[in-house]
Amino acid sequence: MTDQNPPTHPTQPAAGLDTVTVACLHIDAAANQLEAAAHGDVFSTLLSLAGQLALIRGGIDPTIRAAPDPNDHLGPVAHVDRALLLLDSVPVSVGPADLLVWTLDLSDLRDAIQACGAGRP
Amino acid sequence: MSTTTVGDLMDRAETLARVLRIDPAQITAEQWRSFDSTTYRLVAELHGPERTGTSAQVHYRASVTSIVNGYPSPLVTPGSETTFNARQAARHLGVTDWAILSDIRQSRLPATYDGSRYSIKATDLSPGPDAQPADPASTHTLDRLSCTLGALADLVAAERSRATTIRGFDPLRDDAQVTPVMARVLAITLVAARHTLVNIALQEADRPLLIARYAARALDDLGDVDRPSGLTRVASFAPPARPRGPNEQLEVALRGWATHARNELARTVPSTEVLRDIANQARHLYAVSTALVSDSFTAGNLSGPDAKMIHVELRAAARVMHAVQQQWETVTTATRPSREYVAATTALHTRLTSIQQENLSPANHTLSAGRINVDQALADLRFTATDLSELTYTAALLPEPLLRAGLLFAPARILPANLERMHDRNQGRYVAMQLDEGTELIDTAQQGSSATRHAQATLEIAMRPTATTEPPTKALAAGPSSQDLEAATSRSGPDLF
Repeated sequence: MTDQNPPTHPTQPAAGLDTVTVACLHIDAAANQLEAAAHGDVFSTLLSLAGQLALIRGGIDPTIRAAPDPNDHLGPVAHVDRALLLLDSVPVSVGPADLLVWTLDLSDLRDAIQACGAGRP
Repeated sequence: MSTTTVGDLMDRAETLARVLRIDPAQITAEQWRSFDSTTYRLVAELHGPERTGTSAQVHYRASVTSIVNGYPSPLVTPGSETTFNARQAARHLGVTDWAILSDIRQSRLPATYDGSRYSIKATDLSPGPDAQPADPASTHTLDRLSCTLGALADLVAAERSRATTIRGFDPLRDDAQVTPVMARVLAITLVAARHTLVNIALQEADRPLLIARYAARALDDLGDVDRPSGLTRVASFAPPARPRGPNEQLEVALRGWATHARNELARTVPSTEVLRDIANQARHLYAVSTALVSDSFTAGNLSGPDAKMIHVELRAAARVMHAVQQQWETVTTATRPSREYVAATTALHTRLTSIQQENLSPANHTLSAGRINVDQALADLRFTATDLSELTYTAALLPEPLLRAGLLFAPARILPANLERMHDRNQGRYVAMQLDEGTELIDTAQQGSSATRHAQATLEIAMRPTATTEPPTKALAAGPSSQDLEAATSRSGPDLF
């Protein structure tokens, strides 16, 4: 089980971490950013989107969490885009058998995040 | 809405009983037998299987048990799995105890003996006169009453067979909850029997007279049970297979989510992702409920003080659920959520967001097709608030056994440092938590359970009939303005109260 800071550049993943793990870190980082963007309003729809992202990350691998990164300059949509890029690059034989479905779920959610205007960090 | 409750069916039965008083239609012996047998089935289902607990429990149930056992020679057996002792079998058949014992000893009646008493299958007892269920297509008031009570008996049987061991969420096993409903059933029975006495052929009047006497006596035996019963809130759901419109879509999404959430919590090692998501959905549900309440206030269906109070209470509950979510976020059982749950929760998220952003938007006020029926939606959300109470109660019971079993893990970096964890901290690994390290999680989960119960009670206020609240004009004058209330769910809206 890993607990890492998210790499902020998809082409330079942290040494020793596989692609799926890095993708999960990006998803979790996006969730953290959405949660921060809610500014403590418990009725914010951004918190619901963050929860959905966390659920997808947990579906792919429940043992990965992104530690908070104060220098994270990517926005939620950019993190999700990078996660999608990474997940699409995972060979079929590697990663969970239902990775394709989780990727589809993430792709659907990306549009919802974009629609609610939460693109920037 | 395709949801009905015990309370709804009781109200309908009482309305029909009132209509019966002024209905001059003659009653046939078959119609009476249908009513008679349905009533017994309902009374027996309310009592449930024979209690075989401690002597204190048996004593506690004695009054209710004696009412069921005292039903004069029931025309039907309560159920294929029901068993009687010799005395109950004698009362069921209307014969003496000795007659039953004699039949058993002479092998005319199959029975098993456990060293202290006989056990006789209900299905082995001789059936009485053929009693058919009432015709559901009949317009006769007594038939309609029989069908309503039959539906109530089915609902009670279904609720009793639901696999739940959650203490405090099973009113059918609490006689304090059962007796008020049983008293109402007996009152309906007495009214129906007295009405039948004057509208049935004279040669068939013996049985209604017997049942009228029994119902009057049983009502007296129950004593003063004029109190609210949680049993009336027990509901039966039948969401549409092909939902049309925002209300049906909401109902389907809510029922699907609640069902899959229960299944997830029943897993041997539940997923913390699901536990976290349940808290997140609770928060979202409270946000949408608040938006609907604001809309109801704007429409003049809810008084200003009530709307304000609901807003404050639900926001407080949402804060607690957010804290619960954050606590579950720090730990994991390494169990993945099921695909079915994720599909159900995604559908609910989509539906709730759609209500917030589209169905309740001011632009949609003139489009009746796209607009949600607020009262109906609030009724559905109230039922889900009850589900949430149950789910969060179950969730609050989980941390301790998971911790004791060493199945709850957290990043070593957030746990107290010790020599054994040095390497794990450096490697960014998860380690099994100790029981004392989960105190905050346990406490927060319990606070979540309390908050959902509180929110459930709060949402009951939103469902109060309009007549019990202030008139809309007065409410608007006394309460906050509709503009104050309408931004309850905006992404960055102020905390209005």
